[in-house]
This record gives sequence, C-alpha cells and structure tokens, in this order.
Amino acid sequence: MYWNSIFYPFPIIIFFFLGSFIAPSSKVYAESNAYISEIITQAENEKLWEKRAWKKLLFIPDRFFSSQPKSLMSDKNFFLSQEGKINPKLELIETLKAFAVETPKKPDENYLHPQCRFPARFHWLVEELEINPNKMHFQPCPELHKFIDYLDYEGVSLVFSNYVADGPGTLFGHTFLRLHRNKDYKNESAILDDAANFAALIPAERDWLFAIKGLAGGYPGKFAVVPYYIKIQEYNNFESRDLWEYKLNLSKKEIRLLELILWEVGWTYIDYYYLDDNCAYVILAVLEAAKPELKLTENIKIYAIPSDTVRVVNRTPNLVEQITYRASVFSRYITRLSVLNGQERKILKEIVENNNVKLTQSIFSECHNQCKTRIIDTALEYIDYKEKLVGSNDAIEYGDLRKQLLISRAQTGEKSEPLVDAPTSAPPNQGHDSALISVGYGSTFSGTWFTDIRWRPALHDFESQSNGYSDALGVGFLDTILRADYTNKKVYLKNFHLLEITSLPAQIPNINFLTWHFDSGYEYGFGFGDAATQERGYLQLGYGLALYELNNSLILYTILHCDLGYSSSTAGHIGPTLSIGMIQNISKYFKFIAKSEIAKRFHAEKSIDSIKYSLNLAAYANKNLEFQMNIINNNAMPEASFNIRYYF
Amino acid sequence: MKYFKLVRNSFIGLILMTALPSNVYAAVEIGKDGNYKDVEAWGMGGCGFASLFIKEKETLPQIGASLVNEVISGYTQSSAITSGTSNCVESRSKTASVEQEVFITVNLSSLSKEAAQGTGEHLIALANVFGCPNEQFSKFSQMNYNKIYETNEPNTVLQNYLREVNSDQFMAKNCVRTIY
Repeated sequence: MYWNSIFYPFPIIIFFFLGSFIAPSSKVYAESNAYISEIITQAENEKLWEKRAWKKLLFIPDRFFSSQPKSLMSDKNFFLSQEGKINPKLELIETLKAFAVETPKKPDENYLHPQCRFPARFHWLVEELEINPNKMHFQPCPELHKFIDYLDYEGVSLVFSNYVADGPGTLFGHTFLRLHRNKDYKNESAILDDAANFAALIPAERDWLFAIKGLAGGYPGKFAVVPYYIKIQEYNNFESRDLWEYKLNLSKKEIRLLELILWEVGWTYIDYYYLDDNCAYVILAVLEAAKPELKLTENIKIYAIPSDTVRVVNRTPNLVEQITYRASVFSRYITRLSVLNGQERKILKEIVENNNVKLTQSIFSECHNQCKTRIIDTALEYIDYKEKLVGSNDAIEYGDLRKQLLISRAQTGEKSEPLVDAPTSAPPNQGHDSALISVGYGSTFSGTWFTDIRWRPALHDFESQSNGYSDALGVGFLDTILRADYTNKKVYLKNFHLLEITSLPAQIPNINFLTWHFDSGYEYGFGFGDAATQERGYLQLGYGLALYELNNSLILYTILHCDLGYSSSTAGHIGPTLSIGMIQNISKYFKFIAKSEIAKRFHAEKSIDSIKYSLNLAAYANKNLEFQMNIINNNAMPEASFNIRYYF
Repeated sequence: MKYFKLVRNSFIGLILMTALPSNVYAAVEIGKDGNYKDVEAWGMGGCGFASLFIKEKETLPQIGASLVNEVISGYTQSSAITSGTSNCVESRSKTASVEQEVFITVNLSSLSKEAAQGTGEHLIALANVFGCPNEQFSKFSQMNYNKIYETNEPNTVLQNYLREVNSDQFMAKNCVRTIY
C-alpha cells in the first residue's frame, strides 16, 4: 500500500478513496448537481468526446473501412446511455451525470456506484476537466481498492503462443497479456506474475455448429486475470507451444490506467468473432485504451490474425523493449536431446521404448552420474510431452517409469544444466504478414502468353520464407489464382483452394509425427486429353513420410492421397494421387522446390491419368517480398513464368 | 452489412469445421469435469470483477477437494482456483496456505521434475511462496525428494513440505511463510 501511494499517479483520488466513509448529506448532492451541469457545459465546450483517449476508453477501434465510431463492447451494461455503443458524446454526458448520482440508501449487495464501476473513465474525466473533489462527492470504492492494491503491476508484455510442431491449425497463434508483478519485494520470477486473457466462453458440449457460431459471434468473449503459471501450464506443457513475450514500453501511469481498464471490462462481454473481434484484436484495443497515442487497430484491415497483431505491435516505434522466449515441453525435449551423445541416445531410446522400471535400473548400471542425469532429464521432458502432463494429473502410460526416474534423478544429487535459451525457430514477429498477393507473367512452350493473379488471405506455405514460421507447416485459405490468357483472349479461374493444409514435421527421435496433406477446391485441367481443358472440384487427403537431411535444410517428402473429384464431363471420380517433393533451403535468400504429382482418376466409363511436375526457385528480397521462377508441366502442357509475391 | 458478415462467416465456418482443429484460437471450455482447462473457466471474470460477489460452491475434481470461494465472508476451505477473485486477489494476499496449495496444485508436474533436478523456475517460485531462500530450498527439495513427493496429491505434498521444512534447523529458521 505504501508503495502504491508513492507511485500512484492519481494522488488526489487516492486521497479520496481513503477519504471519508461518512455518507454525504443530501445538501452536498444538490450542490454537486449544480456543479455537474457546469462540468458538462465545460466538456461540451471542449468537445471532449472527440478526444482519442475517450474513444479508446469506450473501446472504439479505428476501423479501416469505416469512420463511424462503434464500440467493440456488446454488453449494454458497459454503456450508461442507450446509444453509448455508437455515440461517444452522449455517453460522455451520461457518464458525467452518473458520477454525480447519490448512492441509494439501501443498496443492493451487488451495487457499485458508477464511479467505482468505471474508474478508468472517472480518472480520465477528473484529470481532463479538473473536477473539484470539494464540489462533487468522490465515492469510496472498497472493492475496487482491494483490486488495485492487489494488482500493483510494473510491466506488461504481449504474449504470443506459437504453433505446435505437428499442428498446422495452431499457426494462427493466440495472444494475451502478461502482467509483471512489482519486483521490489519479490525475486524475479515470471511464474508469480499474472496474465490477462480474453477468450470465448465455449460450452464443453460442442455441437456441429461450433465453428459457425464462433465466426458469427455466437459466443461471448470475456476477460480473465489469472496467475501466469496457469497459462504457462496450458500452453508450454499441455499444448506444447512456445511462448514469445514482447515486453511493452508503458509508463507507470499507463499501467495504472490499464489496471482500471481491466476492472471496467471485466464486468462485461464482447461477442467473439474468430475472424475479427477475437483475442488478438481486443488485446490491441485494450493497449490503445491504456496508451491512446498507439495506433494499432487501424492496421487490422478485415480480419485479425494473432501473429499479425504481434507484427503490428513490433512495427510500432519504441513500443517493444525486449523479446523473451519460453520453451514448450517439446522444445525442452529437443534441447535436452541435443546434448546427448550417441550412446546416451541409445539408452534413452531403450528406456522410453521398454517403459519398464526394472529394466531401466539395470540399464543405468553402465552409466556414470552425469550421463544418468542428462538421460533422465531428457526422458522426463519426453514423458511429460507425450502425457501432456500438467497440474496434479498422473502420467498414465509412463506413470511408474516417471516416478522411478524422478527418484533416481534426485538420488544423483546433481543440479541440472540450465536449458540453453536457443529457440528452435525465429520469433514470430520476423515472419511475413499473413495475406499474399502475387502477380506472375509467363508463357506456355507453345507460345501462349499469360498473366496470373493470385490472392490468399492467409497464411503460409513451404514456398514462402520459413523465418518466423515452420518449414513443415502450411495453411492456405481461400487461395485463388486467376489467369488472363492474352493469346486466346480469355480470363478464367485457374485454381481455387478452399482450404489446404500441409504438415511435414521432422521426425524427432522417439516421436513419430504424422505427415499429411489436405486440399479442397477447384482446378482447371486435371488430366491428359480432354481433361486438360476441363475443370473439376476436388477433395483430397493423404498421408506419407517426410525426411529431413543436411541439417534440416533439405526436406524430402512423399504423400499418398485419396482423391475425390467431380467434373461436368466425368461426374464423380475417385483415385490415388501420389505426391513426391523436395524442398531445399539454399540460403536465407533462396529456396528450391521440385514437386511431382502422379494420379489416376477412375470414373464410370474409363480412367483419366494425370501427371504434373514443377520446378520452382524462390528468392526472398525482404520479409514481405519474394520472387519466383517456375517451370510447370501439367499433363504435357509445359509453361514458364516469373512471379512477384507480396505479403501484407 | 450485418447479414453479409453472417453469411460470409457461416460459409467460412463450414470450411473450418471440415478441417481445422477447434483450438485455432484458444477458446475456453467450461465445466468439463476434471478437464484441466477448467482452470481458466474458473478464472473467468478475473479477479475483482463480478466474481467478487459470487458465493457459490463449486466442486472441482482436479483440485481433489470441494473449494469454496467466499470472498466476502472468508474461506471455509482452502483453495483459490474458483470463480474469479480468489485465484487472483485472494490467492496471494489472503492466506499463505491457500496460495501454497493452489500453486502446488497447478504446478505439481513441473515441481516434481524440478525438485528431482535440484533447480528450476517453478521451484524458485515455490521458494518464494514459502518465503524460503532459493538456492537452499532447491537443494533441500532434491535431498528430501522421496519424503516430499511420495504422492501426486497436492495437499499431501504441501503438508510434507511444511513438515520437512519445519524439522530442518536451517529451513525452519529461514522460511518466513511456512506455518505448520
């Protein structure tokens, strides 16, 4: 408390929080009513509602396509006027009026005076209008007080949870805030900090409409402040995702305001739209409210992808002070594994494969203390990864082995080497932006000239730079390629991928990841002969194998698909499609990719063969600009083209 | 405009449903018995919010005890991860024992590993929670591993810690928050 008052940027108010708890007489209220009219006139003269800070306190983002103010908040209780959501002026006037109301004689037990319910607005208005505490009764707010006293944060980080090694769906990430505790009287430990998380409340019983509801704003999103260790368990250990923390440059005063904002929004909800009003976007709005000069939400054009918001924050000058990395259980396993020699790796394999306590004890007889320490440390991370172990859950498959390993480990009396803080991938802010636009110019070998225009709103494929992403994972969404054929004077849709997902994770010792590929969409030209100029819709799913060679710079993959298609000429058809490919990272700036696809498509009358192959050299000028040279041969119709790809 | 958005999003939703796992953006599941993710649901509303006034009993199997969050009239049983406030404001300021139990409950798998390894950030945080000197506490946890971590039951682990700390001359003297 003592510390608080020293740093508290609102000394007057603190004074009044601590001030009289004696209920003021009605005379004081009558006076304050006259005074509030005065204040409202003053606010009208100053056009206070036009101030950015006020709009931000009401959670009005800067929409790219609209200048109409409209708050993100869906809950009517967040507004004191009927039109508060769209009318910042009216809301300001009603707010001022509400601040002067008398506390009821016998308030409901849940009653909170507007001053206590909207302290962020209150502080801001008191400062802006220099409201005189002698003329208006400042409410004592014991609950709020308890809350503020407890928080006392001294720093804020934006936290991004990165993708799972074998989960392309997690490429979008998730963001929340880490609230750093005041360390004056505590040792430096992230574990004891807090996290502010905004998430949709989704019932455990998910029906088939789940995804649609999520997109249509069918779930309420709410804020929660929880100990950071809960989020660490959840992301690092349960989901096995690395956490990246971006420490933000906020002043003491801005952090205090953020605490009050958290209090204000904690009561309310926002309709949660997966695409735009999601965790990432709302977090940006919170940061803008705490520091109005930040311009963050205007960078989100149509939809908000969490990794994009991380880049927006990083692009803002002087906002990010420091980037730290918190390894997931999978990354910890990789790191521990990397220091084992061949013999130790063999022992580790034996231990986890046999999963047998007795055998394990005999294996260790040929191993000195340090070797034992290193192996057990690795094995423990492996088990915890496999078991998704969190909290006080028991390990199921490896329960006895884990117990035994822990006891043996404690017996060695050795202290573990600290984990080398070497992230397995580049920080996500270094990745390219999520939307791709590409323009290509080329010619078929028979002399037809064409231009290709491609647009893909999200997100990543292995032809792009993998910095900040993973070489192994790709998610493509509404990927559309239009071709303008100059020679034949026609424009047509060449490819459309509704959704394409690629997962080619590296094979890690003792972990067998699945290599798979899913694609659904429309293509022009799907076989030899007549089919070369016909279109079809298709759906394919395949499994296979990926090999990583030459320090992971070379990836070889082979995937066997089951392919279902429909075209007007053949009606439905089905068949196997074999994809074989090679991805070679030549350097940071160049990548070479060779792919081939052999397919047979059976339908009622006959079968259609299809053979496609392509060579592709990509050059990376900067984070968002790429060039590609392609030679593509689709069913004996070879062509060459040059593409410029830009991410935004 | 609103309808357009609805149609657009429904369309995309159908696509997503076919392939993407449901955790594309972290969502909170509510009330799945024993699902560890409940932790977040319990924290819903966060500290100091409406949950300040919630006085309902909740049984959380994960914690292994029925936990009561009676913020205003005080605790009847120790624990903090219930609806909101307690896991926040109260868990660090109300009573040391509540905080300790919650901390051990949520972090037990990390703690048992780090205690055996004689080092780690969760262990240091626990030393903080007990008000013990870090270095010695880590070493102490490793040396007494068998006595303290014989079980996976958080409350027992807590009691074991308190017992061992208080029977060790140095620790008993230097730990300021281990009331046994």
